[in-house]
Amino acid sequence: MPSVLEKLLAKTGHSTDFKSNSKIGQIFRQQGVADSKELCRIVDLPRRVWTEDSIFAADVTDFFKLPLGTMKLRPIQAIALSELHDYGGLFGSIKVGAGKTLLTALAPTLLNSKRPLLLIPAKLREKTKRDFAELRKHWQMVDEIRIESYEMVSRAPKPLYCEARNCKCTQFVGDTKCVCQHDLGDHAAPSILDMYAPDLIISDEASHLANPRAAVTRRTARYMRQHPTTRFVALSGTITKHSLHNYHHIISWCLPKIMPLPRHWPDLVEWAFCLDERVDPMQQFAPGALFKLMNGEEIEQSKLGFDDAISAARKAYRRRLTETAGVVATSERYLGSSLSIEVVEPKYASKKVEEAFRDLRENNVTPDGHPVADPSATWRHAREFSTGFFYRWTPPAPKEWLVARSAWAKFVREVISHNRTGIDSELQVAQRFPHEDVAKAWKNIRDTFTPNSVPVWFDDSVLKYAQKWMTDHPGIVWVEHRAFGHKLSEMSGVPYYSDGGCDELLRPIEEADTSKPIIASIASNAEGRNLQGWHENLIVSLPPTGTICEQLMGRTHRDGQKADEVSVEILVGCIESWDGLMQAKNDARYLYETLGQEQKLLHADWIIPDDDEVRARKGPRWHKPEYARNNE
Amino acid sequence: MGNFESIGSARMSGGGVYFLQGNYIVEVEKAFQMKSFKNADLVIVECKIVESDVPERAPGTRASWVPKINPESMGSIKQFLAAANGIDPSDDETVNKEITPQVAELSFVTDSPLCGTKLGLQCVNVKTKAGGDFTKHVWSAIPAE
Repeated sequence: MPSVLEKLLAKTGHSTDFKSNSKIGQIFRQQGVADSKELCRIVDLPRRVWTEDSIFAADVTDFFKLPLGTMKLRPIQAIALSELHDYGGLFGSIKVGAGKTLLTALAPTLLNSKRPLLLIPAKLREKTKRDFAELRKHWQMVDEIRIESYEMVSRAPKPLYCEARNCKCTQFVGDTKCVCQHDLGDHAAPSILDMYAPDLIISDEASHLANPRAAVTRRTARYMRQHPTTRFVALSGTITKHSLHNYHHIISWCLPKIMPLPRHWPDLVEWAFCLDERVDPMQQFAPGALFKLMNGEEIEQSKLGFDDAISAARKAYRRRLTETAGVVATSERYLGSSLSIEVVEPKYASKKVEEAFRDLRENNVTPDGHPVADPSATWRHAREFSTGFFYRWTPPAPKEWLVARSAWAKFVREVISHNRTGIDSELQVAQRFPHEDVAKAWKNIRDTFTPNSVPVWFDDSVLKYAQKWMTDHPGIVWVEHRAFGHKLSEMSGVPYYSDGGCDELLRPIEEADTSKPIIASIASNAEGRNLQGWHENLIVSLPPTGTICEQLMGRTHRDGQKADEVSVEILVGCIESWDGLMQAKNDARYLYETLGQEQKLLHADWIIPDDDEVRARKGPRWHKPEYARNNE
Repeated sequence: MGNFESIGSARMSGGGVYFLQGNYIVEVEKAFQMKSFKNADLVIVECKIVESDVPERAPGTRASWVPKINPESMGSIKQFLAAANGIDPSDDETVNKEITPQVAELSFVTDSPLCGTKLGLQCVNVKTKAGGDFTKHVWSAIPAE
């Protein structure tokens, strides 16, 4: 029977995720998450608590290993395989460095899969192939595990030939027509998933499927909807960033029958408004009926105040999630090396950095006088300025080009958000709507300008600091901007590992000499790589997301690290970087409270200035202009 | 299009007409939120009276219920929403489960989905703590015919 909300939605034509911020809604929210059939179902799901058992791990090892194999399964791997066997799916929130690659290698053997598909980030493709070649010497693995990247799944493939009636021509004009002028939009080729038709999908670094609006997630969701018997294994050390919405759909693929999250969308929205990080305080729900998940201690905590109640609700939810069969989450503390993190403010030799920030804050322009369009551009430029440079397009883009691009991007977003015909990428929108005015306008002007980003340097203090750091420490300098990495490499002669984790000579980072310093791109190397040969890190510009920080520090602070201490030095040169660091810590707290996974940012020893002291610092680097809200 | 295109269908405002003590069956014509001149948040429910035992509020006349949006009046608003959606307001369990913030937000909008719904209404005069007069509105669902 439909709920009252569903009846009203049907009458008004709204979707369930309508934006709501009315006063009446706020007051209702204070009454908390509503009791529901889904909550009752979740409360009643059986619970199980597992403990690490090395004897069991040895038994499972004997089952999988080859006669001459010498590797052993860790207890967490044995438990994960056992649960996968028993429940047909696995949702593994397994800490960084705990051995997920071996799980991905053995899952097809365990489930006797005929067409297993392993999804990984593109940058880890070669590394995974090398790892699998090594693992085959020790373990029983199926003959073929198809490895595809998330990027490849999200790409809309061109058809092999035009499928219009009586056409079959194989030549295409642009992205939208064959030479016979048939519109390809109606004959779009199937995705890799449809062509390969896997019976088992293993998603390593499953956080790449976290965004429900991304093309790769939409395609995977569509495939799972059309092939509900496909089994799904999701593994990640950082499965969520800050919301239940990041993994609700993933866990529904892994464990459709015993899903420990609400299946009913309005219920999920309420849970998320209570449990998520980064919820507008005016929108946040009190725990309400979620007390049903709490134990005595948590109920007592929830009486102390609103924030304590949210924290208690998160802990109760975490126990419910991690005690569900098929969900394996690591929770142990790191017993090996300690981790120390020091926040350092760079000392700038010239006043040009201060002047650049002053121009940015007061006049909204870059040092060359180019206007900065919006707050996200301000944020991006501030992080560039704090390292001594900024990117600019040379020559600048014509205004008409920018307007046409913006209109086209808006059109694409709207089509992807609202269509029910399986369109989930820009190319498909272009193929399906070639005659729209906005599409024609963009197509006509698109090729008249090609953005050419050029770095403009105005201060080399941070470069010199990083160069000196490398002479004193044989560690890893982590960089966010390619320009910084290339420039530092040029100055110091130290190799810079970026695309695919390789340097200019295409040597992989894993083969670098661990007695010497290296420069590593965060985007290319912060995930999936074993870099425990180094134990000192300098982060020039830290991304403001807890999951990325956890992944990045997990490259060196992981099982197998031989040093007693892993040290991380973070350069924070402006308030945007500081806010990013604080947000990363809040994200880490959310991850710990909802998934129970120890977060490096939380258990590290910090040498860090006081938040009030940082916000009291003088100068344009540390003060953002206040933006008034529309109604104030 | 001129500024006064819709003047033909507009109803003249002659100040608020409120419910007096008595029993009514009403049909909801509008349900929305707005701010008062004193900047208080209000819910406005405009009704057409279908049946009435109050001579001053005869069938066919219109009256409004205007509660403030504050925690004190949430009970009445919740009761109204329950009744308007066919739920017995005394059934606490169902009311708490079904009448959510989203339901409230969706209900009090221009072109409210509650328009056309018939409800029972009993109005009773009570004294406030401060000694003033207050008309308590008790809403009830009308069983489907």
